[in-house]
Amino acid sequence: MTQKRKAERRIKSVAGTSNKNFDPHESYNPIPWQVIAIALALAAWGIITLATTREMAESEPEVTQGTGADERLSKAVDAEMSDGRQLFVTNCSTCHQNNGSGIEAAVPPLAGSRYVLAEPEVPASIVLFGIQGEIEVAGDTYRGRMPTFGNELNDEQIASILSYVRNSWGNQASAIEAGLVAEQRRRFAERTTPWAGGAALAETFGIPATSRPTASVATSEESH
Amino acid sequence: MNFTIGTLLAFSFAASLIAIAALIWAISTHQFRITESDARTVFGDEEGGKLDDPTSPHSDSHPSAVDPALSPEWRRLLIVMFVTATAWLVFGSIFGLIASLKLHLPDWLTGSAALTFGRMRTMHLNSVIYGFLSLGGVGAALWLVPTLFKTHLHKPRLAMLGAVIWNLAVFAGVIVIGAGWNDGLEWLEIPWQIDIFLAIGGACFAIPLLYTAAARRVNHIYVTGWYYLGGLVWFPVLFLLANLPGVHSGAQQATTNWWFAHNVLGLWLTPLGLGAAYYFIPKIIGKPIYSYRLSLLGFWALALFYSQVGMHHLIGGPVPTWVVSLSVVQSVMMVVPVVAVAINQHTLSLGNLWAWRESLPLRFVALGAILYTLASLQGSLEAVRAFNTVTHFTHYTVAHAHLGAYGFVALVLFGGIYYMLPRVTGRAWPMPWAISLHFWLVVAGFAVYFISLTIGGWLQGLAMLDATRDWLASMEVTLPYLAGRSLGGALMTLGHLVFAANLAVLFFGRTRRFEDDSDDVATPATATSTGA
Repeated sequence: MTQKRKAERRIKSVAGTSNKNFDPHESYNPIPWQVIAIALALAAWGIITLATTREMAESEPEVTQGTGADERLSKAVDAEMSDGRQLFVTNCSTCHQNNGSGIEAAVPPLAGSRYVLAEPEVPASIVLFGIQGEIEVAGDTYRGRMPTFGNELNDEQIASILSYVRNSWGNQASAIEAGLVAEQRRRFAERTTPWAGGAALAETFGIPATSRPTASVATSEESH
Repeated sequence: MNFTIGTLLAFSFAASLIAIAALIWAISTHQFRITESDARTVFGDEEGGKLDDPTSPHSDSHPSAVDPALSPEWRRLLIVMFVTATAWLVFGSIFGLIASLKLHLPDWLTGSAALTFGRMRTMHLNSVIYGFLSLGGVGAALWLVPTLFKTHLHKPRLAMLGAVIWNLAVFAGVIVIGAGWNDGLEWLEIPWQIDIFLAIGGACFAIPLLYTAAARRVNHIYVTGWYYLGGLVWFPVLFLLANLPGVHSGAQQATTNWWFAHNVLGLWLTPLGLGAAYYFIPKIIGKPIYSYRLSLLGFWALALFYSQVGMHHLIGGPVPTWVVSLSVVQSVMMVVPVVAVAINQHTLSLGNLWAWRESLPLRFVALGAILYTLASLQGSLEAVRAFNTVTHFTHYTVAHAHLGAYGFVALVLFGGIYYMLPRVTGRAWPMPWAISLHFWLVVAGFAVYFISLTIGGWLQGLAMLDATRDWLASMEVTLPYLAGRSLGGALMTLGHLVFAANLAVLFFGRTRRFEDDSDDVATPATATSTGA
C-alpha cells in the first residue's frame, strides 16, 4: 500500500505535476545543426553518386557485351559476310562474345587467336569437333569445353562463320570455302570425340601448343 | 547529353533537395506559424503533464467510462477493426510459423499443395500486411483522426461497410493463394479481380476520414494527421497503379513490383505507425515532443525521398543502372527524416524512463519507434551496393523486413490497441499480467528471430560469394539459424495468442467496468454523441 503511494508520488514528481494549472512552457527547440549537417552531407554524396553513375553509363568500355557491341560491329561488316555474322551471333557469341573477346579465364578470345588465323583446316576442324582440354591462346591457358558443331551446322554454314571470324575485330586471314570444310569432314570421318586441347591440335596439324618460343611459327601464321 | 527518363528522375532528385533546403530555411527563419503549443494538441482540452494510461493503476488520468464522444456505430466499427485485425494476426502468425518450420523440416506437412512453403509464406505475408497491419493501422486512424480534430467520425456506416468488404477481400485473397491462384508478384499476390474489392473497401475507409478532416474543429492539424492524410493519398495511388492488369511486363514489371512493395512499407505502414507513435508517446507520458518544427522536416523528407526507394531491390538486375543508382541515393537520403523522427520521439521517451516502467502501452509504442529508427538506418545501409552484394538474396533481408513491419509497426499497434480499447469499450483489460507477458514474449521472441536471421543471412551471403564453396554450403550454413528463427517465431506466436485471449476475455469474459469517476472524465466542450 505504501509502496503504491510512493510510486504515485514518484510519477507526479517526474512527470511534472497533476496540477490543472500546469504551465505549458513555450520551449523553442530549433532543428539541431547536426540534422542539417547530415542532410547536407548526404545531399553532396547523392549528387556525386548520381554524377559518377552518369559517367559510367556514357563511357564506352573497350570490351562491350550485349547489343551495344553488336551495333558497332555491323558498320564494319559488308553484305556478303552478314550470313556469317548472323550465324556467329546465334551459335558462338554466347561464349566468345559479340566482339570475339571471349571471357577471361573461361572462354578464349577469337580476336588475334593463333588458331583462328592458322591454316584454314585448323579452325574448320575445331568447329567440326569442338575442344576438350587445355589450350593456350594469347598467352593464357584455358580448360574449357567447346561444343561439337559438326552435327548442328552444314559445311556452308561453318565456312561462312569462319570467314566472318577470320575477318573481324582486326583479324585478317583468307576466307574459307565450304569445300574445305567438307574435306575436313571426310579426313576425320572416324573421329567421334572433340580435340583433346592444344596438344592434340599440335599433333594433328603441327601448330605449336604454345606461342612463346617460336618466332618463326608466328611469321608463318602472319603470312596468311 | 540525351534527354532521358533518367534525366527527368535526376531532376526530381534535385527538386527534392531544393524543396528540403527551402523547408529548412523556412523553419529556421520562422516562416511557419507553428509553435510548440501546437505540439500540445495531443492533450486535447487537458493540460498534459501527467501519465495517461488506462492500463496503469498509477495513471493520474483515471481511465474514464466510454469516451462520451463515441457514437454506438463508431464504437462498433472500432471494435470490428481491432478484433478482426487481431484474428488476422493470429492466422498470419500460424502461417508464418509453419513456413518457418518447413525451411528446416522440409518433410513436414507435405501432403497438400496449400501447405507447401511457397503458399504458406505468401498467405502469411498477405494476412499480416493487408489483414493485421492495415486493419489495425486504419482502426487507429479511425479513432485518432476524429479525436485530434475534436469532432466525431463522419459516415461511420460507410467505414463499417469498408471494414466488412476489406475483411472479405483479404479472406478471399488468402484462400485463393492457398488454392494456387495468384498474380505471381511479391506483395501483389492477391489476384487483381479481388484487388478491386480491396480498393472499394479502402475507399470506404478513406471517404469518412476525409469528411471528418474537412469538418475539423481545430486550427492546426497535429503531425499525426499529416501522416494519416499522407498515407491516405499515397496508398490508393500505389495500389491502383501497381495492380493494373496487363500494363507492366518484363523488367518494367519488376521495377513496378518493387516500387510498390517498398512503398507499402514506407508510404502506407510507416505513416500508420509513425502517426500513432507521434500521438501515443507524448499522450501517455504527458509531455510534448522535443521539437515540433523538426517533425515538419521528418514528414516532408519522407514524402520527397521515399517514393523511389524500392528499386534498390533490383541491384544487379536487368534494369538501367541509373534507375538503381537513383534508388540507392534516395534510400540513403531517408536518413534525414529518420533522424528527425528519432530526435523527436526518442528524446521524449528515453528522457522519461519512469514511464517505461509504469506504462505497458508506452513500452510497446516507444520500443516500436526505436526499432523504426534502427530498421530505417539498416535499410539505407542495405541499399548501398557494397553492402547489398552480401545481403541480397539472403535471410538478412527477411530479418530486416520484419524489423520494420513487426518491430516497428506491429509493436506500435499493440501499444495503441492496449491504450485505445479501454477507451472504446469502457472496460479495463481483464488480465493486466497478460499484457506484460505479451510484451516479454514478443520482445524475446523477436530478438531471437532477428539476431538468428541476421547472422545466418550474413553467413549465407558470404558463402554464396565464395566461389570455392559449393552453392549448397550457403544453405547448410543457415540451418541452425533457421531453427532459431522458428523458436523466435513460436515465442512471438505465443505472445499473440496471449494478446488474443486477453481480447476475448475483455469482450466475452467476466469484465470489470471502470467505476464512474466523474472528476476525471474528459468531457469535450461539445460532446457529440450521435453519429453522422
